[in-house]
Amino acid sequence: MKQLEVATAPWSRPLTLGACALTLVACVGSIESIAELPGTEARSAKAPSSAGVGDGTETGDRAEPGKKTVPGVSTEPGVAKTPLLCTTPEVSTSPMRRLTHREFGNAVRDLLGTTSAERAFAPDTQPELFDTMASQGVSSLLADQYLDVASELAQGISNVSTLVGCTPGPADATCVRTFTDRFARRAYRRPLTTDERTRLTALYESTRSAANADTAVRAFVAAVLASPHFLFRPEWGTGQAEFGDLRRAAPFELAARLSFLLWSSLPDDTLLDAAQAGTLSTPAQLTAQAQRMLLDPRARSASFGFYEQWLGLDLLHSSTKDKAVYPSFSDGLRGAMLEETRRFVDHVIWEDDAKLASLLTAPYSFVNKSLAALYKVQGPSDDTTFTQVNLDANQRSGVLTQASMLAAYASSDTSSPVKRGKWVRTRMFCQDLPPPPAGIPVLAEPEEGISTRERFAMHTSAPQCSSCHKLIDGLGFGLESYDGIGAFRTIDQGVPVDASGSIVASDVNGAYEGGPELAQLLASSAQVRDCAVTQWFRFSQGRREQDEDACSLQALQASFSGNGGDLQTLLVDLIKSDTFTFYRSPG
Amino acid sequence: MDPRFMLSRRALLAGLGGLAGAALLPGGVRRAQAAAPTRFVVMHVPEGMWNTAQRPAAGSTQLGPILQALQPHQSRINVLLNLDIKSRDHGPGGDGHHRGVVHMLTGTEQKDANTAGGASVDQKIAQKIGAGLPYASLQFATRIVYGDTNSRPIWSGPGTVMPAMQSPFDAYKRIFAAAPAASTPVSTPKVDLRKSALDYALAESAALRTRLGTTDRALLDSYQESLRDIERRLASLPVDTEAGCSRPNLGAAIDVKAEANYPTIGRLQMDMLVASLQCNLTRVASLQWGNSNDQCTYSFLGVNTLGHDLSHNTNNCDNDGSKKLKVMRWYAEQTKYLLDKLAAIPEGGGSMLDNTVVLWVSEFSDSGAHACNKLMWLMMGNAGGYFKTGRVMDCNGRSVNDLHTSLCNAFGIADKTFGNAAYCGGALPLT
Repeated sequence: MKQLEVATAPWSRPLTLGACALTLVACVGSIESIAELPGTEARSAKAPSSAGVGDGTETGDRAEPGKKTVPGVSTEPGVAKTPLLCTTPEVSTSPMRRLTHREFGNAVRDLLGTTSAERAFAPDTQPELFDTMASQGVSSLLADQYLDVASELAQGISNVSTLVGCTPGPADATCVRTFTDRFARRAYRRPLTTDERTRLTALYESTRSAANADTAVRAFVAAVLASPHFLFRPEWGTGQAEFGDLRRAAPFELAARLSFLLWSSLPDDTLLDAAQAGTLSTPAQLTAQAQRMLLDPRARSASFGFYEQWLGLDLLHSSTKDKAVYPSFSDGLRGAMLEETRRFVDHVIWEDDAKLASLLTAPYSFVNKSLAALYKVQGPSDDTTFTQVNLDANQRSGVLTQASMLAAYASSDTSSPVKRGKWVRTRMFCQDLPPPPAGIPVLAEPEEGISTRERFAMHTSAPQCSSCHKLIDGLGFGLESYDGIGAFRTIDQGVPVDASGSIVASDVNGAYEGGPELAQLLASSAQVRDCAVTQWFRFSQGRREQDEDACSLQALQASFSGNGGDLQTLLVDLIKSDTFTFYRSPG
Repeated sequence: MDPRFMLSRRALLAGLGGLAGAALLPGGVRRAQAAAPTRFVVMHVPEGMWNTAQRPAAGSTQLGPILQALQPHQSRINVLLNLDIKSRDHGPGGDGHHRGVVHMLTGTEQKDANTAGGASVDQKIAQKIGAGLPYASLQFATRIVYGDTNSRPIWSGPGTVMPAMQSPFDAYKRIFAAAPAASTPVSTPKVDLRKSALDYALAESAALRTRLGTTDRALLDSYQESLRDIERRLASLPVDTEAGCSRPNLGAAIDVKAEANYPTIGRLQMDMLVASLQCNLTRVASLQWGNSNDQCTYSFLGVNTLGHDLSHNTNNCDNDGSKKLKVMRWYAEQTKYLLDKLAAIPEGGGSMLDNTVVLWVSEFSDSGAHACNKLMWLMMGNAGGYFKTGRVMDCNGRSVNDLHTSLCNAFGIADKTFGNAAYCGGALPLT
């Protein structure tokens, strides 16, 4: 089992507990173990942080998904970290991946110019934060949907001649051949093999003779979109094995790795041309391409795909609020909250300094009329216009205190210190919490005269409960100044709000007061900074970090720390890392 | 461009079906024997089925406050009290929701932290009775707002989930538009793009497969096997039948993700499910109501509290007026709708309900405590006379595996255990 990243802490003792947990997360661990937690020395021997919290060994066999130890992080109490040497490249295996539904939408947008990227695919099973880490298998239902979408998109091509670049027909065989080669090269991220071209040509010709040239083009497009070479990303690497069983990622594989990381989509012709010309291998060449690609609008929308999943904004889409408690909440306000955070993240990353600290503490945000009313600031006179405003610095600071986050991580009729605290602990500190055990006691109904905080505190006051909830509640209580839709409040259930919080089991331990102070502490935390890199790593690799990733991850975290937490540069660093440039077969 | 090709046969049929809801569909599979086929349906409801005095008492013929809506069908229902998911504390996995959902129909330890260790009982039955039908089974769901393992009860084998169709409108396109009648006068396109794409994808998969290592090959195989499944289905179409069946009339498409539409989507999915059985397109189906970690606030009932929070925040299920009770009674009403539909379809000397078993499950009793024991599950219908019904039975902590063994036996699988035999004590005395 994973431990908290506290290499020298003699804190973790397996023990079996009875009932003791509340709504979302479990209490596993002992009060002594938490009490013994020192301020962490995360940077003393810098190593990737992917640690879990608590021993999680209620039954000894409840392994968390895909968690492996990374070198340098001790899992034994009292054992110091082993410094990493990193003298030779080492990377984990690269299993074949299937396009995520998001990537599929972007890919057909880029291939066919369709504007709507939304496809009604059966959602993948996704136990982790990111869609890139979801299950990859193709059920019969999903295969049906792939065939439906492929044939519908092909059927929906409004003007075949425009797509092909000529009027396809016997007289234009060269033109058609040029189109099919180019289209397939983009879709498959490499030139067609002779066999593939033979098969596709046969399909085109037989369809043309059975129907006509337009239909033949449609049949070609549908076939390519249903091909496993489009839907999957098989890799083989190139050249001789080095450093044991590593091989260099082949140029076309690098092109696809670049484009799926930076655009969540297919490479463009420029990138494929570079791969074909052999000018896509050196760090300088990769960097130049990455910098070109980052200027493309696709980089903005693709990276927001990461941020919205890291922040967990999806949950707001399905959040329903009690109209009696929050009469101002509507689908319109929900949409405005999401739009605010989208604009904010976009601005920080692409217009401002791209610093993680700015994401966490920037004093400004973007509001329409309804949001201005929620934040009690001057804003536009309608809901379609969003303007940049500075919010009250005593109340708001960065993304953590935006209405989207606060509304998503709340109940339908109250705030939820537990949901918010868990959000910070798992998403910002990369610390996993064990699942709740059976026998969870019941939380009292909301009641006038008892604040939400008191209600939760009563519920977790038993020593076994508080041992675990110390990790959560101290982070969530500091956000009690915001109600269930993110409005600032000083009174809750008729009682003055107590927004004092405390952080434990981190490198920024201590007491604080309210959201802005919490945001400042997170922004100053090396653990949070490392965690941001870890989250990008997981998103980009589609898996959790493994032992063999330690050196790549350490180098990325060191660079990120060295440049003050620049989230744009992190992307360029990622594509230069060993994990990115080497291929290791999964067998 | 051939104008006839612009409107595919699929689109035409979908259009016809949408316009003429009651149009007879002469599709379906010719019945090999005179006896009506038996069918199995499993329905999953989130956040538990209680452990209170509101349950019917063992031996009673009164179904009690929670299940009141089902009283008219009492003689065709068995209420099974105090079943236990005995495997849930063993092997890898997450919290009670997670483990309960994955274990309750598979009866064995998970393969890994996120996937089941074996086939769920409906899939085991589908593998027995589904051969030769267009679909061995069909999965329907209403409003799964996120797709973690908590919302995955149906598994065709270790590690292989069967995701559900969340939109009845998409389901209609998939199931009914793909079941054209031989006699329907549609203009057949000269080229079926979907079919040629299928053939091409199969050919490329075969070529790619030889170049992949074991790990990558397993992923490709999931696609290849699914494509072959579709190929087999297309080969079985168009089909012929003696009896007609009605296409469901879904009306205009509505937002399947909006909470306000939850009841409507649920009913449309039940319409789809029953029509699929009636048209003999499948004999095994499932219906999943929402996420196991219930993300519905039941605003349409005036409840306005997230189902998941409701479970953890209240302990007043004994109170007739409680929100939780309201929600549970509502699910019983929805179940009545399903039973009414099945009972209204004459079959042999009785109705389709008589030839079906509808199993109503939830992974919890008291969901607030994440308790996977003391479960109350219902089985409705008697599989063509196989089961005796009309009883409220105390199962006294017997394993759900034993119920699954009974169900397997009813559908011609002679096994004495189900799932992990360590959690089995033999079939339940239900016959």
